[in-house]
Amino acid sequence: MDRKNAIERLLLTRCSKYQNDHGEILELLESRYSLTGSQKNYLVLQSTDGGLTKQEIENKVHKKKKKQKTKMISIIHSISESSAGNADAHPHPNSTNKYHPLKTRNEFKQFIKSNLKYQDTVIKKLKKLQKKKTELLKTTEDLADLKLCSKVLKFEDFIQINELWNKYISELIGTSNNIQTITNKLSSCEFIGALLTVTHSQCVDNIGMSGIVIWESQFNYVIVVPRENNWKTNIESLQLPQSYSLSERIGGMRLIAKKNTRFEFSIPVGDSNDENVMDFELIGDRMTVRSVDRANKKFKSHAVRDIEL
Amino acid sequence: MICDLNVIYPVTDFTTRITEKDLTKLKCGLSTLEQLGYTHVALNFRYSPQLVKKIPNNVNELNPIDVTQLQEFKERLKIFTRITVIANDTSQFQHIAKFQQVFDLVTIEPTNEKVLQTAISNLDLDLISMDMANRLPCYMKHKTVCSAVEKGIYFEFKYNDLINSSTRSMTISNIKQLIRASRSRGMVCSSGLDIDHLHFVRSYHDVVNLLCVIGLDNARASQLFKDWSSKVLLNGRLRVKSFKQTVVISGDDGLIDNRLETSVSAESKPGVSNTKMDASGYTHEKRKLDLLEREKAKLEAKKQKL
Repeated sequence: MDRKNAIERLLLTRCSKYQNDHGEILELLESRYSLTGSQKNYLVLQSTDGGLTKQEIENKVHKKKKKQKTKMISIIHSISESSAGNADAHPHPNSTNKYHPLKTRNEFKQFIKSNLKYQDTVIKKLKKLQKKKTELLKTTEDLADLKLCSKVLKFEDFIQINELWNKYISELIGTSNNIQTITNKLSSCEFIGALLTVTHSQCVDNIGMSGIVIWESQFNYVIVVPRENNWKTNIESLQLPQSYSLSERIGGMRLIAKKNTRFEFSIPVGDSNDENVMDFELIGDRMTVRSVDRANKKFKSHAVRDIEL
Repeated sequence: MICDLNVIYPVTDFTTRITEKDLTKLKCGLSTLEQLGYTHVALNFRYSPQLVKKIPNNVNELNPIDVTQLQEFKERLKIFTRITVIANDTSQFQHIAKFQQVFDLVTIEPTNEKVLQTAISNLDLDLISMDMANRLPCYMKHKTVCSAVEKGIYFEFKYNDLINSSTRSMTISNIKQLIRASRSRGMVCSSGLDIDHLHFVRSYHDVVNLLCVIGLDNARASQLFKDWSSKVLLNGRLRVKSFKQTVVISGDDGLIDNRLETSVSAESKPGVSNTKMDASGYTHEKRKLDLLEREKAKLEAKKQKL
């Protein structure tokens, strides 16, 4: 008996098509692994560009870029935009272009850059306004009410992220009471959503700034700062009338370098009643790693000459 | 801040406790140090593995220095604990990881060249203490000394050897050798104050003058007491308070403060395996002026207006 292709024959006999026809099965199997037969022993790969030529694809990307420039700047808007765009208009989400405008990370980068620029222009415009109508800026309590500042990010929108982060961090730490284990966990945790305060910095303007982290890159934190808030607000005994600069009054996004900077954050401890907190400090110089790599990084102690007291 | 990182604690064993007589003497010494302007003091427990064979297994009993007996200095001086292992063989290094959990500073006093070199290359130390009163164990090479300083391990010498007339000449030549090898960088000068020789204590200005005679410039000599000493303390404290210098527990003032820690050990909780690593002392109530609360209140006020 022919032992060749025993399994295949067995399988084919189970098929209803060849139930009673052993001759056909034999014929099929004979031609199975031969070069001349109808069934080939190699795979045929066909191009899967969906019937579009390369030029057509490039043209579409180009149009998309032009559209993107004119779009309104807002995170939620742009993200929903990109997901919708992925679904119907653009059939190739895994395009080889690294700087593809639809890649979320690049888009986010672009958003940060453009929004920082936008904040600068807003401040310039406000300065001009100050010269023309001095009363207007003095009388308005909240600058976010002005139409000019409507697109500046607001701190209030991010409070919920912070609440989520607080839940995450208290779950992460649990009931452990050892400094080493807690700090070990914190060194590899996510910081997006944390409320950071700059305690020490080489850049004097950054000291005392506090806000919610919305993005962490290798060398920077991007935080959203509340309006009318600086280090002076935290001093109870300060009797002077508090004055804020224009950039402090509109708040918004800040880019803070990790180098030569220490950040402070506090996490709730204990059961349910979050009256008690524990403070931790982040040494920026030792954290210059992308948050993706930080999860698995093996940290090492170094000479401390770069850490200010 | 002016530091004195070496005040010898009059105990030679892990299990023995300090006697009343010694304690009063030590308090005298500490108050003179305070009068002379020192702010940070490290109590030094000298441990020589040849004399003391037995080491307690329990981590809590490992530190013979009882800071709670010195409560009266709490507001006046910042007191740290330090261990000096007098090592003549590399096999004695095995307990150092244990010591690092209990002491603020971990130091080695090498008695031969091999120990010195392996300590620099393998161990995570804060200080290397050299016995300047006797001949140095080896010729100080620029390469070894500088590799240690680059790593953050500083060298220590004691000025009481300089004041003691019987050891003075030897000490001067030894210190000159260390200055040459380290290119006048990364050194720490401390008193090495012994309770039997309390009269050897000096103001740091006097010692700086003395070192200027030996061959250090004025700025560097004062850095021995200020900058570099505080860097040593920072290195030691960060090992306790942080995970590899990334995230530090805070709540007290500054990175090297240990105020909250001593309050924990005073209570001496039974369930905690190591009082130095206990985080519960750092918890505190929420600040009254919390940023988030304020912002939320603002939001609600705005909603009500609308």
